[in-house]
Formats: sequence, C-alpha cells, structure tokens
Amino acid sequence: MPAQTVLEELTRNELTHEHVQQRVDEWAKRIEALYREVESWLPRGWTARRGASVAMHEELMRKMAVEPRQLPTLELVHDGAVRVKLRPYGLWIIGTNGRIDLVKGQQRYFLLDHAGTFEAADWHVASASARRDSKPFDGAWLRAMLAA
Amino acid sequence: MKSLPRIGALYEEIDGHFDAELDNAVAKGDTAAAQRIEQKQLLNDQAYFVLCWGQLEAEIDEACRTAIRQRKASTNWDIRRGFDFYDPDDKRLSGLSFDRPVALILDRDSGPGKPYARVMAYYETRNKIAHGRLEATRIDVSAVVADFYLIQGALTR
Repeated sequence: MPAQTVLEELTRNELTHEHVQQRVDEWAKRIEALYREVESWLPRGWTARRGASVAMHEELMRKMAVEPRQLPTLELVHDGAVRVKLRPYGLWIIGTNGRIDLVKGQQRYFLLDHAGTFEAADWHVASASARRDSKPFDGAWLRAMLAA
Repeated sequence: MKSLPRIGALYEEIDGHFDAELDNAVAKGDTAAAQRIEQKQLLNDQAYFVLCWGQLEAEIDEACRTAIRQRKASTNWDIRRGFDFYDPDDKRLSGLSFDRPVALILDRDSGPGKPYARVMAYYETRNKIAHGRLEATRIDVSAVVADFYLIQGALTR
C-alpha cells in the first residue's frame, strides 16, 4: 500500500522518481480543480483570473531528479481591483497534503488538504492566526470572507 | 500534555511573524532575504515539533506505566503474568526500547495510518531531527498538535 500521508512518505524510505512525479502531477490537477471550484462559488460582481505562476521545486523533487513545475495562482477581482490572491505554498508538509495560501489584504488563510495521498481532496481553511480552528473550505465560507 | 496548547500557540505566533517578514521580502523582490526566512521557518518548525513530541512522549510513558501497574495488580494471573517482569517505577521501564512500551498501549498490528504507526513515524522524525539530520520539508506544527491529541485519546491504559 502506498504511503497515505506525507509523514509516511518521509519515513518509509520507499520514494521513487515515479512516485514523486505522480504526486507533483496530481498536485497540479488538485490546484486546477480547486480554482475551478472557487470560480464557481464567486458571488455576482466578482471574477477570477490567473495570476503569475509560481515555481515548484521542493526538496523531494530535487532529491528524486524531478523537474521544476510552474503552478498557477488565482486572483479574485472586484471593482476592477485584485482583492484576493490564492498561491500554492507547498505539497510536502508534514501534517497536511498540500497548502495553498489565500491572502486578502493583511489577512492570510491557509487552505489545507486533509485527504490522504492520491485521495479526493478534502480542503479545509484556517486563519493564519488561528490555525487549529479549521473549517471545511466551501462556497459559503468563501462568500462570507469576500463580503467581510 | 498540559504545555502542548501553549507550545502550539507560541509556534503560531512566531511562524506568523516569519510569514509577515516573508511577504515583505517577496513584495520587495528580495529573493535572498526570502530564502533566509524560509530556512528559519524550516528550523523553527523542527524545534517546535521536538518540543511538542516531548509532551506526547511523556504522555505515552505515563500511560504505559499506568497500564503495567493496573495489570500487575490484577488478581487474575492470566492478566498479571505478562506484566510481572516490568517495573513501572523503573526510570527507563526495564530498559525497553521505545516501540515496546508503545505496543503495550497501542495496537502494533492495526495497520498504516493508525495511531501506533503514526507514533512510530513521528518518533523516527524526532530522532532524525534530534540527531542532527534536519528535515528539508516543513512541518505543520498546528496539524501535528491536533494529531497528538487524537493519539492521546487512543492510548489504552
């Protein structure tokens, strides 16, 4: 059975180039799927557009000779201005299956995937200042955050 | 694990400061400063992970001693006979390696992802860090703290 968590991946010593490449590919797909979902949740007056991409080249990728990957960011626009940015932070983080940062002004939120590796995503959101108080990331949360 | 909430809260406060510094560095396009801050975050994660681990380890140790005491006190020899060898008051629990006492209070055969496997994986991570082989990946200490509470709830005394 493949490792179910990042903790297991890092402690089992079973990593291969193929596994790491598959994880990177799957992470890119999860990000795309999340962005599509976010776009579908936007209230009237808001639009989404792709921002500058960010380079992903984490330690395990370097270790397993996996090429760097460009990942998209997402900008949420209201009244002609970018109000919110979503930026992939990292995939291999002990305790979570990937993190995307959501920034609105001075507020930062972490979008954390609680799912196991290669499972359907289970996105939760927590404020950077109250990280242990996470909630499911859904349309209701997003619209409330945009309205605040 | 009475100090775990305070350790977790302090971690969040410090990592939040690093995040703000990182934002400033990125906004200024100062790549070198951003990399320095990311390295500090990596190191800080590991320092706080080891602090948090100490809390769980103490809880595991006490749970194991309680389990031994309870079984040694049983009048039923079928329960008592497997535990007479152990001294719950021995500082090093009769010299047991860490996996042995853990197996007294968590099911070793419960499979991947279960509390026993998670404890041993955290223990391996802790050993790597404590013996100078630092992790090159970040640790979400807040998530680890939450998981330590789940593990605490699974300890069978």
